[in-house]
Amino acid sequence: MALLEVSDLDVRFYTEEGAVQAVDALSYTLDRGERLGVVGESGAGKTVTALAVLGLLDDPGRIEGGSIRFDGEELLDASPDRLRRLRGGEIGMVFQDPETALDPVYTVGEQVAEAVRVHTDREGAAAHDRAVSLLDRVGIPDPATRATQYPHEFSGGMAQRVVVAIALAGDPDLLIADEPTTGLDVTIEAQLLDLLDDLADDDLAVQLVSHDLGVVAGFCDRVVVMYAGQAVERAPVDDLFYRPKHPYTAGLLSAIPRIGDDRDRLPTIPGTTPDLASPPPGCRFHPRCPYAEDACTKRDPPLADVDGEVRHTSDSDAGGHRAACLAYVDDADFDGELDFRVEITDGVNADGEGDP
Amino acid sequence: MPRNPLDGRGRLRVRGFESDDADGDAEAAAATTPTTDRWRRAWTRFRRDHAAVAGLAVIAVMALLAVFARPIEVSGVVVQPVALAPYDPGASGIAPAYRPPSLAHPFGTDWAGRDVFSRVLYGGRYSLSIGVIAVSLALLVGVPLGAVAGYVGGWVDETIMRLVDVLYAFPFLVLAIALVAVFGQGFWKLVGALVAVGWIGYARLIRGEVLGVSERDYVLAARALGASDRRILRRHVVPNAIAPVIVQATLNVGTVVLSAAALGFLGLGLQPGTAEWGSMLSAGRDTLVGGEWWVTVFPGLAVFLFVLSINLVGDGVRDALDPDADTDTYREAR
Repeated sequence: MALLEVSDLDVRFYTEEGAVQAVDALSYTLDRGERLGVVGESGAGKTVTALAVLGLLDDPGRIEGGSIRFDGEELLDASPDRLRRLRGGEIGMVFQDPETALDPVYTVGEQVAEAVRVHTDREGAAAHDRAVSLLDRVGIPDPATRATQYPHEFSGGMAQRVVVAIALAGDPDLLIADEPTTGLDVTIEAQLLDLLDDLADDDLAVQLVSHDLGVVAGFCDRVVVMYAGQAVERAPVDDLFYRPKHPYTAGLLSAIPRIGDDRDRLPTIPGTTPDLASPPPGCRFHPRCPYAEDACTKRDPPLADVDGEVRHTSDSDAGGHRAACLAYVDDADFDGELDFRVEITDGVNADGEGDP
Repeated sequence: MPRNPLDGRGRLRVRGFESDDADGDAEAAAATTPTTDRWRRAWTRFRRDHAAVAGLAVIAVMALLAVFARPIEVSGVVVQPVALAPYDPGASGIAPAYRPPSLAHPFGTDWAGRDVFSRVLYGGRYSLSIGVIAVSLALLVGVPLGAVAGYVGGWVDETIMRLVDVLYAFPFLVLAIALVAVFGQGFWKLVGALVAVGWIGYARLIRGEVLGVSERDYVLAARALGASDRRILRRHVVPNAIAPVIVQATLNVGTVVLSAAALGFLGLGLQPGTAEWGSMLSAGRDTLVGGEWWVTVFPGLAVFLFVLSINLVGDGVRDALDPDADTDTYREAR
């Protein structure tokens, strides 16, 4: 059984402009010790999904349907008390900006110790000792001294390690990291990813939310690509990067600059993410999709197996490669071809064809 | 073929930069800097502000004079035997009425032949304790109510803040006068009236701060950690929202002492004849015509000095707690 099973999750924000469908029929699973990447543009619903799993959505956001099962337990029916024990206990969360995720008025050691006290029966000195050993675990040098310092005395990378230490205090099975490296420079980012990598080796499942495809490529086992609140492609990481199937994924990949690139301009995906209060009809990506046809404006494509078989149910076939594009739907009125392809320039030339 | 922008320009090579310092040294050096909590840092900044320190010294002296003016007895046991005031502040007829200042009576005597110097010293007990107690109690009421209103929101917020709005519609002093007029005179009734009109300011101030602090990431982080709302409010929200309230409360001690004096002057404060500064001013107001200036000038000066000092301290506290405020940069620039 998967550790985390999200199926048909719907999240809406009720604003003055109307209901915004922030997450739309999203399904994914995450096994123990697995690393799942969730990528997409800003506003694709990545963070909202993470918050929904933890039951942290605030007004005006509301979960309108679907189910979130953690270790077989339905979280949407869980009591507030149970959710509180779950947060930080079984599911830890790491935030984007470590400088603001730490409370400026307490020492770092005190903040880690607080997390320890909330989730274990350690008190006083025992909690503090555990805090110091957690700081040591996340690679902070001289943890005993550093524990007595305040967050402003930490660099961004060190502060993010503290945030990870706090998330680990309850000895969680799942770590949700919401863009944990976005505010850090690349060397520190690499160190932090090494740390997460190391932690994930200890059977900790990691859901890494990111818009950095490079980070996802280097860290994750499987990837969910989100666009406008929907999962548009779900695949093992190799398949996603070498054989992208959804035009949006292909667009994202082509927009990455590469060393030795001789293009004058990076290709971009034209347009912007749609207003989710009034999403376009049919496929949400069609206004920006170079391959869009009439059929795309009429029918919202389901996540289909890229071999052509349609599956409406969110079954546990998590390892497969699926994309939400009419090109993979058999009975769709889609005649064209997705003629993008991936060229691998370092010797071995294995072109992945994008057409069905 | 990939094109290297540096092709044909020669290679860069820097020599002599090899260092045998280990990477960890920088971190280790950072770790040895002594760490200070924010109250100690605020105190360090406060001490640099000479006017505020002078104000604090004046208040300390006035407080000490008030404490040591007359012996203090607690249920029959003398706990403080020193008597700086030469005469009993309540004793009348120790000298002829309306004697100008002299060596025996430095501040002269009033209509009943009471020693004004002794009364001014002793009066500090009332004024200072009213200021401190009324402000503390108002904080105890206003901070929890305002913090809960801001954090919980919804109908709780509406209820509390509409009550605050209603109370705000009355002028501060008029409401206090009305309360004293209804409930009668006396030390605790006076304090109660000042608290009843004083807490609304703190409630409104901290509610606004809490609204801002609640949006911070560390509050979300604490929730993601599974901390309870009460714990988050008490440990994370209020400590981060309290600084402006402390500044306001410090400055308000002066306002409250003035209000107590004003109520005393209007005859609504303590019992007539009490050696409270405002009541002394009130009792002596007829003497302004007769030329016996010392009866009113000395208690008035005491009020003035105390309120001025507390304002200096309040400004210093604000600069110490919020180093980005304008006055601080102005002082630095001087």
